[in-house]
Amino acid sequence: MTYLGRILFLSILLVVFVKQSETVCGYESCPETKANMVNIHLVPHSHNDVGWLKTVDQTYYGYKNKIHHAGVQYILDSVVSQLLQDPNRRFIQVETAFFAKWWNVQSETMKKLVTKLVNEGRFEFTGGAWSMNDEADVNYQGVIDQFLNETFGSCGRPRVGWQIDTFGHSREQAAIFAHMGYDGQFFSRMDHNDKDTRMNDLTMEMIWDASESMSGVSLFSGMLYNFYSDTPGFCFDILCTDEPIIDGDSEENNVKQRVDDFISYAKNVSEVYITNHIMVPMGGDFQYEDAKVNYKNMDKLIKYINERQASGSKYNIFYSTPSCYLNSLHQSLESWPNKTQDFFPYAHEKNSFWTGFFTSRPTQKRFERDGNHMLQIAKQLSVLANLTSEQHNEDLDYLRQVMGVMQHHDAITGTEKQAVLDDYDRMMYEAIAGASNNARDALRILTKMPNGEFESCLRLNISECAFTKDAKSLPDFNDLPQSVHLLTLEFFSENEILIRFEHFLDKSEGRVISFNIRDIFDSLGDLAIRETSLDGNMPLSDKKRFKFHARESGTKPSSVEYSTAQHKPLEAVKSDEASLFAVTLYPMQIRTFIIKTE
Amino acid sequence: MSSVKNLAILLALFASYIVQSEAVCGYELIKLVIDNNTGRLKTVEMNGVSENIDQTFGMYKTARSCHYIFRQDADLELVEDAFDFTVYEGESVKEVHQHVNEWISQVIRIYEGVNRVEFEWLVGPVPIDDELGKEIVTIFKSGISSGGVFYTDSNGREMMKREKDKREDFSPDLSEQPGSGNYYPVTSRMALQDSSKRMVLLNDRSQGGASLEDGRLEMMLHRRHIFADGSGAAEAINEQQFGKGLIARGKLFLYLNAVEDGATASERVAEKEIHLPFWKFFSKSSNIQSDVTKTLSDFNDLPQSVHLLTLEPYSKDEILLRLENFLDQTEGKVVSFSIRQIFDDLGGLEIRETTLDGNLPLSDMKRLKFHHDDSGPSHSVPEYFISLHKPLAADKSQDASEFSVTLKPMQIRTFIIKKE
Repeated sequence: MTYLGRILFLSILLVVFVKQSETVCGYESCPETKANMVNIHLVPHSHNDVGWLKTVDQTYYGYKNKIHHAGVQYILDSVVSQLLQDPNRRFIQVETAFFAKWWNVQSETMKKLVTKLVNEGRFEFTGGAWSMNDEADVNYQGVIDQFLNETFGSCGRPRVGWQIDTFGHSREQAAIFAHMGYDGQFFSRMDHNDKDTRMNDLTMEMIWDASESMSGVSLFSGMLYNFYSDTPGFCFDILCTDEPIIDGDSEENNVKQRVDDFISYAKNVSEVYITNHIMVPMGGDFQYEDAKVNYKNMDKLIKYINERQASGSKYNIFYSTPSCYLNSLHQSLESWPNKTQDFFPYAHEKNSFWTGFFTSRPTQKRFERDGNHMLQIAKQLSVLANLTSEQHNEDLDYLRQVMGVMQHHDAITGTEKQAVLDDYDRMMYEAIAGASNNARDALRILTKMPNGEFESCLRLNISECAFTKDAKSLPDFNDLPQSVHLLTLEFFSENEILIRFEHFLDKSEGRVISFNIRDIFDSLGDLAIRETSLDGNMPLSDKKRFKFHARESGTKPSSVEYSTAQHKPLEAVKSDEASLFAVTLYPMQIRTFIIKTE
Repeated sequence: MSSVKNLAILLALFASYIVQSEAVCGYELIKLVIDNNTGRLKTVEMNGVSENIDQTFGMYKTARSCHYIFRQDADLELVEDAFDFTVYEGESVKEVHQHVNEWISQVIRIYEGVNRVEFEWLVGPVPIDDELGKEIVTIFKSGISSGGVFYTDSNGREMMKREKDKREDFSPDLSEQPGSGNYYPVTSRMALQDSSKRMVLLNDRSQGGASLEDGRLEMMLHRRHIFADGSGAAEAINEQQFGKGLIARGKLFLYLNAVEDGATASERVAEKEIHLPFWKFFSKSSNIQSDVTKTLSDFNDLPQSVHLLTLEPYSKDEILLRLENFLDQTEGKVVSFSIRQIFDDLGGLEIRETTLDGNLPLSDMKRLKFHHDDSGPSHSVPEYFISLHKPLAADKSQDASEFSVTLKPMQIRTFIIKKE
């Protein structure tokens, strides 16, 4: 089964579901806001690196939690069940690499439930690429590729880029989002001096003119107030130790204090943004594994903050998404400053420019280019040769997915741990090998050479290629002495070759010659060689012929005589020295050999 | 007697020294001059331009860099010793092999008929026995008066102007990191120029690049560190292979060009050739029947500045096709062509245009449009962007003129072709 197939299947489901329930998604499903208040868009999210300190699979399955606690499968299980309990709750899903893994193993019932959540705007794909790609080290081709097939159906189509963790931001990324029809993007890393300046000037949000060559390519871009993690003091996740909201009849009741603190924070945020809307992300790295803890406390936060409106509070808080926040900004009819350059280099504090990762792990950065190269080749050839088998689709999809993973901001950047890099390399190598088979099969069709090898060599940069090295080149019989005739070259058995050499000059015309047949042996078979009688039927060493006594040749022998080979029969194996492969031919002599091949 | 003889020998040596203070290696398109004393590149002549370019290697020793951050502790240390070098001259390729030190070497290579100089660097194992991490860089120093400005590409597309010590909207704090804070990502090209000459480096993977002095381009090639940043990966970036520090190998490509309108188009073409060269497949036999290629689409008929960015299976009976005009507004112009032949060759029944990701029919695209501060009075109703051109939509029965595609500089258009 391929992800492509499954994702297309999802889009069909989505269509069916829309028809059944007539629900709305997108901007029409956004929560209501209040014109005369500060509207706080509370945005639940989990930031799930597609490999960083742990490999992709370790991160998904929650393995090696001693390195850090991360189990994305449980996050999705938990979030979905919490969303189903209350139609007001929202969650944004960012990294499709993980979502696809999870989706693949869900029951039909669960798939329908998730589809319903998507169609009602409660579970919203944001960013939506295979991974949250880096913006410094990536080539546009790799970025564009990882957005295809990962987004599906009209309700599943992301509207907003969510580049909250990438280490600086490129103008081309903004242009790519614009060309993909995205309405805006949010991020949270920029030079600390830049951020301070923008907070002062109320320019945290801007219109990025993303192309000098083309007009109309602009993208609304917003900088988050406090990184992408929770409001300080309000991390309700099991990974945190902040105070929960205690609202019972308890000595520990802290509702007043907690609401005061949150409103005070919201006031600070609202002072550096120009509309009466603010966005407060609620989440962080690998949060929401036990999502009821998060939602239960956010429910209370919302309840008690909004209760204060009755006594004159001007703060209105609700579950929302980045796209709904963006929609509110759009509706505000405000004007925004523009931006024309980019956000490199990034410095999170004094003395700390993130410029090392531009070069970190140089060999991995190169290998990623090879992966992209093979992906393009395999895709083009698949089209031209019309490859459609399940295996071909699976292999091509796997390389697509692995290249999506490689765009991740801890993959191509080289900022992952060594063990994670090793795993990326393994995946890429396997994926390239699979796609190479597609390329080979396509070339066999296109060239009408069903047995063509069409091997790819990944180590050409060091002039190494197993195929050309091990290939049996044709033996060069021209190296034989001039008077030697290749009398016979034929198959003797399935894995034996018979070869005869003849000295075709007689003793008045030529003389004894010696030559070495090691090269011929190597190129023909190379396991073993033995010499036989002329007919090839008897090992020469076994040859024992009756010898008859000629009258002129002296005294009669006292016993029966035999003649054996007059020279030592050649017999050798691959590991023997070349000198054992010397052949001497007298004028007119013919010698016969059998070479055993593999 | 003997002293006179010695003097003669000395004179002879001196004479040969004068004659051979440089080694010259070149073809019609390019001439390289190597300084015999230093073993380093001295002069490059190509595209009708000659410039003294001194290329060398250097390192920043530091105890505080990590996976993410390059923190400079001390001045750049250049390799001071002369390089041992040998020149190999062939009919189609010439190479200068440079032995820089025990762990850096390089082959400078030019090919007959190829208008760029290739630098194949080999760096590692980077020594850390002094217990300091190292950032290894190569430097190309020219006399070009670049006035503190250089250019780097943005993800392989448009070029970004970088001004030393400056940012668009704020004043950076470079007090402690004047070098690192002037590094930028280079994913395919970096360049500097004055009014007449231009020096360009293309690379084969992404790297950090900088121009810390006028006329000088610097590219970081390799890193090895022993400092584990507590906040990050919690281990040092210290790659090993075969029990030693990792050896990395790669290529940079140098271009020297005159500053003229559109001259950088050739750099773009080279970028594409480097990024996606011919993939080599190996087979024993090469008896490909001559008729087999006839049935394939001939993408060579596309205009020269058009790149077949993507051609891939989209669904069982659909193909995704992306076409890119890869020249920018200074290098190229609007191109128009018909894709009817490609459509037919691919067995097309219908074609439609989508957004760049392929996920949304372009005719359905309606993006939120936000109002610029400086673009006149604010609007009274929310505004939207729709496609700036009429999305292409056609089927097999329609006239070839319906298959016309116009691409502005840098524009990419995405199509889905339904086939038989």
